[in-house]
Order: sequence, then structure tokens, then C-alpha cells
Amino acid sequence: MQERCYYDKMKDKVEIKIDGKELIVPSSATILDVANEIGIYIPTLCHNDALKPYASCRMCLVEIYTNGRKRIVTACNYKVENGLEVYTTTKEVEKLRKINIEILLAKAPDSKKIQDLAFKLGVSETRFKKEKGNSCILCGLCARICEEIVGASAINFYDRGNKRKIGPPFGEPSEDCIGCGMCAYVCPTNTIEIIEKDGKRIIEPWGKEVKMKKCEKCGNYFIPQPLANKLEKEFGLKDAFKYCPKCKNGKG
Amino acid sequence: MNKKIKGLIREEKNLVKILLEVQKEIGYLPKEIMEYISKEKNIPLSKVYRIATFYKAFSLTPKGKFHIKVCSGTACHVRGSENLLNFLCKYTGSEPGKISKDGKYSIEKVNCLGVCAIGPVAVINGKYYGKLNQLKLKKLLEKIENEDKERERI
Amino acid sequence: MKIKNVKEFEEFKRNIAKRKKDIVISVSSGTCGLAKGAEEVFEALKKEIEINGLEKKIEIKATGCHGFCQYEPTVVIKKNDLEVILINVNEKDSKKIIESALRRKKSYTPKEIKEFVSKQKRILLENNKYVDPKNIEDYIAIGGYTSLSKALNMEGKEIVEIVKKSGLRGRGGAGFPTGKKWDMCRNQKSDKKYIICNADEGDPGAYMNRALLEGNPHLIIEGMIIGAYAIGADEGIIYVRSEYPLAVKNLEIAIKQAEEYGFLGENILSSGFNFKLKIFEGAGAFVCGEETALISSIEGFAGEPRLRPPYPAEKGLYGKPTNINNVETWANVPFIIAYGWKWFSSIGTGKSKGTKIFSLVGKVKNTGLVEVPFGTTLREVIYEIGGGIKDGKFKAVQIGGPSGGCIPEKSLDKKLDYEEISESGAIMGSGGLIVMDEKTCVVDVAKYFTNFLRYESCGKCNSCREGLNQMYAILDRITKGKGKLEDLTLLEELGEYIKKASLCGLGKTAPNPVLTTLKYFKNEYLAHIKEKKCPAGVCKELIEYSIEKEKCVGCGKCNEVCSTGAIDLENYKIEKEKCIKCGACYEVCKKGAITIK
Repeated sequence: MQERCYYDKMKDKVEIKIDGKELIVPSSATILDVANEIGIYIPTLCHNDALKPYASCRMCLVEIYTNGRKRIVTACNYKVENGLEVYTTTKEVEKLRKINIEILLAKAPDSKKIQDLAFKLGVSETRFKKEKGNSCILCGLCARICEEIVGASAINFYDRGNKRKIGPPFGEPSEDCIGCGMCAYVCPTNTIEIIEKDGKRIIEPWGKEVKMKKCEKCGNYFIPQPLANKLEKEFGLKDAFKYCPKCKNGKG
Repeated sequence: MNKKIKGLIREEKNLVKILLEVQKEIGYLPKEIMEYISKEKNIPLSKVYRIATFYKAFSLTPKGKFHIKVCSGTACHVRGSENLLNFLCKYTGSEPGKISKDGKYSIEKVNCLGVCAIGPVAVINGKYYGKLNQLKLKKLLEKIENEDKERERI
Repeated sequence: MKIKNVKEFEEFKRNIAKRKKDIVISVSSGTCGLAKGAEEVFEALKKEIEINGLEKKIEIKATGCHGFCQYEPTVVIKKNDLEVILINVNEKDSKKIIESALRRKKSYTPKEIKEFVSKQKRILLENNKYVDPKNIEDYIAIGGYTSLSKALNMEGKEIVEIVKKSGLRGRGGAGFPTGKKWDMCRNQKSDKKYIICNADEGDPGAYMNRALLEGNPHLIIEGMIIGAYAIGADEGIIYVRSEYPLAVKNLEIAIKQAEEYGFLGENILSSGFNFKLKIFEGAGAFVCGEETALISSIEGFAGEPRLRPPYPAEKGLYGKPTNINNVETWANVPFIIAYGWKWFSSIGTGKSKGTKIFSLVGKVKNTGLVEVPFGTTLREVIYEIGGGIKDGKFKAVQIGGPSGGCIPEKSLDKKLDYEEISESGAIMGSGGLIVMDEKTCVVDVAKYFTNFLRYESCGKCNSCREGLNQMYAILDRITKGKGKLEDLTLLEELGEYIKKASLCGLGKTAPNPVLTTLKYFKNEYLAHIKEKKCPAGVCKELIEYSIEKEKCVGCGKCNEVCSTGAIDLENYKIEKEKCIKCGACYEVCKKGAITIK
């Protein structure tokens, strides 16, 4: 018996099986897309629907069979194909996810999100050496959003292997940063911090300081100047940021 | 920055190739040149810096008058290359990836150079020396220093 | 001069044969040879020939590595059918060498070399002795580019079939059938296809590819042209690591010459086939040996591997179908075309056909390059070809580099065969064989490889980056005497996890050195953990140096090299507080009076 497919009029359809459910799905979908659509839970950390899948956190591992061959793959970037069989809760998968979160817990022991996910997966303590100070799990969400959505590419990965880091080039505040704060918004471990004071916005740990723009009516600071400039220029929104949202709507 | 580098940056599309050529020409990747590449090729500086730090052929700091590569391949490792490296750091007052205070020495710990049969191996300014131990290396460095002094006097 | 067609090529070959001189002297001038004075030997011999006005009679050439690395510089004298091999040659011997070359009436091979080549079957390496890599005519003289000329008269499909039937498998490590790989790429419909030669030989302790690239670059180029023709690619790239400057130089010269002679470029030998070949210098990243990372690197990005599918054969370089093979794989192709698939598949064993080159290094008597048919046992390679352990007792042989494993004495009768080696937990890999004796600590070796890999990983996957980092931390505390018994289970668990959860070949094999040593040498781990001892005397925190009074002759050399003044010669003592365990005294003592406890 085939389950109802969730896109009725799709052009490129493929037939797959996920946890025993037979489905017809668009060929452009990933395993994670399908699972989300039909309510199968697959844990993720480095995934964001607005961004291209990156598969660095390895949280979304699933077991698949293609042409009778078994593989363990990441659900977030594996495209569905005809005849694909997916199992999301096998013993092996559960074991791998557990040790994966255990390792992440050692990397970012104080992160609420990691702690919660560990709890959800039945892990309460890590057997691995805990790292102090730096809670970044190098998921890359900050750098990816900075490039793909903001278009600033102010931060990126550097070096490689165990010395891999994320930050601005040369470890100095980047001239390309517009202070939008998207990096802090997407960070799952709260490693990136935004501090606003005295008409300035500081983004740590990048050490970036940007000026805030003052509302011409009420005098409150409300948007980073470089961000306002970028939006005005790129979207032709001339004078769009003269007043703060409150004053603009006459509520100031 | 000389004309050759400017011309190369203008013509070559491939960032890895550009950086390799700059490295060959100057011996390292100065920050200003990376900034120039970023502007000229319209590539975010963060991407240029990423490539420069990902690949180990690139150096972000200048090299010493004597650049010493110590092979850390397996055959050299089991024959005591780690001891050689420690000795070298002590002798020169430098460490891998850094230049000594007098600008004389820079040390690089490199992956297998493929001359395993004569390990442990070190390469000093492009010349290969095999079957080293700490004493041999010390004598070798003393010889090179003396030759250098002699050359300077002339 | 450009050779326009097959007829001209045949005539050209006849002309070259006529030009041959009576005596040919080859000086092995690979990187190892040069490091041991090959250039000086070459110059001295050349001078000697000139002084005596023998230029017309004797030809001298600087060839690539002959593979007798232990005995460099080596010289081979060829006088008609007569062959004389000289080892450990000194520039001062030049006069004697020339004189004897003129007089010689018998072949001569030193007993060390006899032993070393006894069980070898040198197909790929053999010509390194005769070919000046900087001279294409040398290569043509030994039959080079004849296979290309033959292949261009066949259908591409026919060539793929021959390679399939020959049983040739990828020599880079995993052993994927080459013909099948070619077929996949050939069957893709595309306006543009690429072929790539993976010459990013990064396994520490392995240098077979360097020897071929430096010594016989045209063999690889010819193999690539044939492959490109079979697959339908018009552009090729040789991705060679920049740590091999001589290989890059010789390849550049070879490509230029092949273009000049018409083996590369437009309408090769009037076949209508066009092919251009370029070099891309790798910028130093082990992970770029993985084919998708290699592609990223050529495209100008950081070498991060990509998810497969799509496979490079479907979407490779710049999104076009791409076929990637290792240096040694390409080098086999001209031989298969020349002698046929039946000949090739008659060499070897089971599903592993042909020969394989290994670099035999470490604590073995004869080190160097070994080419043997698949099916030869490890014991034969180490004891018969390698002449056994230098001094001491065999402990393990490390095969397959960082992705491989350590194989113990009891498994030495395993055949060199892709399947048999995999069963042992190691992999065939690209051909590094590092022999270890009792003075090598396997925990230290496992730590060494883990340390290598945790930095050579691109760092993208959490499992590989953090997993290896945690693995290193555990190994580090074991070698410092701070390990716990539970650490061994933790290492095993971590190993399985890293293998399964990581994306690419690097991560999927990275735990092998740890897992194989755990499997075969658990007692050595236990000694570090329970007794806080390093049986091999390597792990610094667990050893002490001392002077054995009976053996000491009082020469004082140890005192001379000791940088901390820890040696008390009068009392035959090494002061514990001052000793930094650098091992300098141990290295320098010829009497064996410095001992490790």
C-alpha cells in the first residue's frame, strides 16, 4: 500500500521507503525534507531550511539501502532516489547519534541546546575530555548565513582539522561585516554575542564594532548604520531608515 | 609587489594557483597581497584567507635565511625525527611555523617528503640531508653558519 | 620535431635505434640519490668521459630512482647485453668506473641487490634504470608511445574492454576496478570530459609514485592519453603535490616534449583525437588525495570532500564527467595495451592482478622500492627481499599508511591481495610498508597516525574532527602513563563511530591504525596502562636513560651532546632531574652503553 504522496502534481517523482512507509516524493527532496514533511523526527544542529545543507554536525545520521547496499549517511544532504530505503531509528543509528552528542557535549558542555538534545537522546554525561572556554561546535551556520543570505562573507572557516576555526580573516574585525547580527541569531551554542551600548553594536568574539543609526525623530538607536546602508542601496529603499519603526508608524 | 605578480593576479582565475605563485615568488603570503587579490578578483577576503590557511604550502610569515624542513613521515618518525625537531627548536630558538628572533632560521615540520629510505631527513634551503641524528644536525648547522660567515666576509 | 602519423613514428623509432652508443651509464638521480651525492657522481663521470674523449662511445645519463634507495648513489652500466650494477658509488671512483666499463666482459650485480631483486617482478620500475626522464627519445627507444600508436587504431570501447578483462584495479588504495570506472565515465553523455592523474601521494612512508613521476613521466602521460581516448576526454590534469619539486619539474619537461613530438595536442598521430594535459600543483593537504576533495582543490577551493552520489564519473570537475586514477594505475595502461589483457591477468592472484610497487622502509635491512606480483606474501617481502630486520626482532609491519594498519608476525603469511589485507583490518593502500622492530612502540605509532590525521582532516565532520581529537587525547594519556582500563573500550567505540559517521575515505579509515594495534598488540597498551611502562622504550614519560658501566669506554661523546649537562661521567650516572630525554646520548653512543629502562 502506498501512502498518500504529499505533492500531488510533481514532475520528477521517485518512490522511496522510510521507516517502512512507502512514499512518492519529488526527486529534489532530501531525506530530511521527507522526514520533516511526514513527521519523523531526525535530530539536527547545523541545519537551517534557509541555507544549503552542509552536514557538518553529523547529528542526522540515518541508515539507507540502495541497490541492496547498506550505508550510513546524513539525512540533511542526501537526495532521495528511486528505490531508496531509509531507517531512522535502528540500534546502530541510535548508538551513533548518542556518541555524536556525547562528543559535542564535551565540546560545548554549557550549551543549553546541546544539553537538551543530549537529554532527548538519553545521554546525561559525557565520557570525553571536556573543553573549556570555547563552545563553538563549528557547525558553520554563522559563516554560511553571512555568505548565503547576508552576502557579506565577513567570516569563514580557517585552517583545518583539529585547528579549524571560524572567524574574520586574520582574526581582526572584518571590514565586510555590516553588523547585522545574523551570525548570533543562528548560532546553536550562543557562542556569538551582541552587545549594544553608547550608540554602538559590538559583535563578539569577532571584535567587530559598528555604529548604530539614530532615529531622526526620537533619537533612539535602532539599526546598525552599515546594515541600513546596505539595505537602502541594494533594495533601493531610499530614506527607509530615517525613523525607527515606532516613530515611522506614528507610535513614537 | 612586482609586475609579474600583478600580471599573474590579473590573468589567473584559480585562487589556489594565484596563491601558490605568490608563495613561490615572495616566499610567503603578505597580508597586503591577499587584500589586493581580494579586491582585484572580487573575492571576499575571508575566502582568500581561508585558502591561505587551509593548505600547508602557504606560509603567512616570512622565512628565515635558513629554512629548515624536518620530515615527519612515518619512517622518519620511527627513526627519531621528533627528537631532531625538538633539538632544532632549542638550537635555533624558533619553533615550527615561526622565524627565529635574529631572522636566521625558520623551521617547518613537513609531511612525508618521500625519501624514507634515508630517514630521518631534513631539507635546508632546498638541499636534502639524510640519516641525521642530533649531533650530525648540530655539526651540519655549524658548518652552514661558518660557510655563511665566510661568504659575508668576502 | 612533430611526428605526424604512424608511419613517421615507425621510421623515427628505427632512427633512434641506430643512434645508440656502445656503453650507457645511468646514475640514479631521484631525490634520494641526489641527497646522497648522485649529482657529484654524475659530474665526475661526465668529466672523466670528456677527458678521455669517449663521448662517442659512452653515453651518460641521470635517470630516475632505481629503487635501491639503501645503497644510493647507484650506477648501472649497460654494455650490449651486459649489465653492471654498482652501489654506494663515490665521485672519487669515476676513473675506475670508466676504465672498468671499457674492459668489462661479464655482468655483475652486488649480492645485496641480488637479494633485493630476487623475488621482484619489475615491470613498471624496470625502465627507471634506462630512461633519462628529461629525454623523450629515451622513452621512445624502449618502446614508449608504441602502445598509444596501437590504441589509436582501436575503438575506445575496445580499449575499455581490454582494461576490464585485464583485471586492473586502482592502485591508490581502495582497489576499484579500473575498467569499470572508465566505462562509467565513457557512458556519460557530455560535451566535455576530464581525466585526472592523482599524484598527491600523501601517505607518510610511501614514495612509489614519486619514483615513477620523477623517473619515467612519459609512462604516466602515455597511459593518460590512452585512457582519455578510450573515455572520450580531451583534457587531462596531473595533480601532483608540491612537496615533490623534482617530479613537478620532470613532468613539465615531459609534457612539453610530448607536445613537441605530437603525442599531445591536436590530431594526435593523425587519428583525429585531441588531448591536452596540464599540471596542477597540490598546495599541501593530505585530504586532497580523496577524489572529491582533489576536485574542489583544482577548482580553487579548500579541499573539502563532497557527498557521493553524484560520483565524479557523472559530475566531477566543473560539473563534467571526470575519471580519476592514481599514478601507478595509469602507468600500467601502456603495458596492458602492449602485451594484452591475458598477459596482465596471468600475473597476480585471485582478484588482484598485475604487480604492485611498495616502498619498503623502516627497520629492515634492505630498504627501497619493491615491485612484486600480487599474491607475494608479506614474509617474502620483508625477509627475502628486505633481508629481514636490521638488528633486533620483528614486531609489526604497517601497511596502507594512515588508513592502514599494523600487521603482526602471525599474519605475515598473508598474501598481498586487496581482499586478504582488508580481512586483517588494514588496507592495501597505495603501497607503503613500514617495518617495525621491538624498539618501535605501537601505541606511539597509533598516536603518531592519529595526530597526523586529526590535522590532515579537512575538519568539516564533527565525527572526524572531534572524534580523532578525543582519540588522540586518550592515546596521549596512555603514552604518559595516565591511561585507564576503560580507555581501551572507549577507543574501540570511538573507532567504530568515526568510521561510520564520517563522510569521506579519510574519516572512514582514520581509526584503522588504532583499531589494528588494539587488536594485535593489546598487551602493549596494557603495559602502558597497568605497569606504566613502555616496553619499546619510546614513550618519554615512561622511560629512563642510564649508563651501563661495563660497556662504557669513557669517550665522553654523550656528555658532549647533552644539552642540559645531565651526564655525570665520573659516576656513570644520568641525573634524572636534568635529563629531558631527548635521546641524543643514546643516538651517539656507539658502544651501546646508554640503555633505556
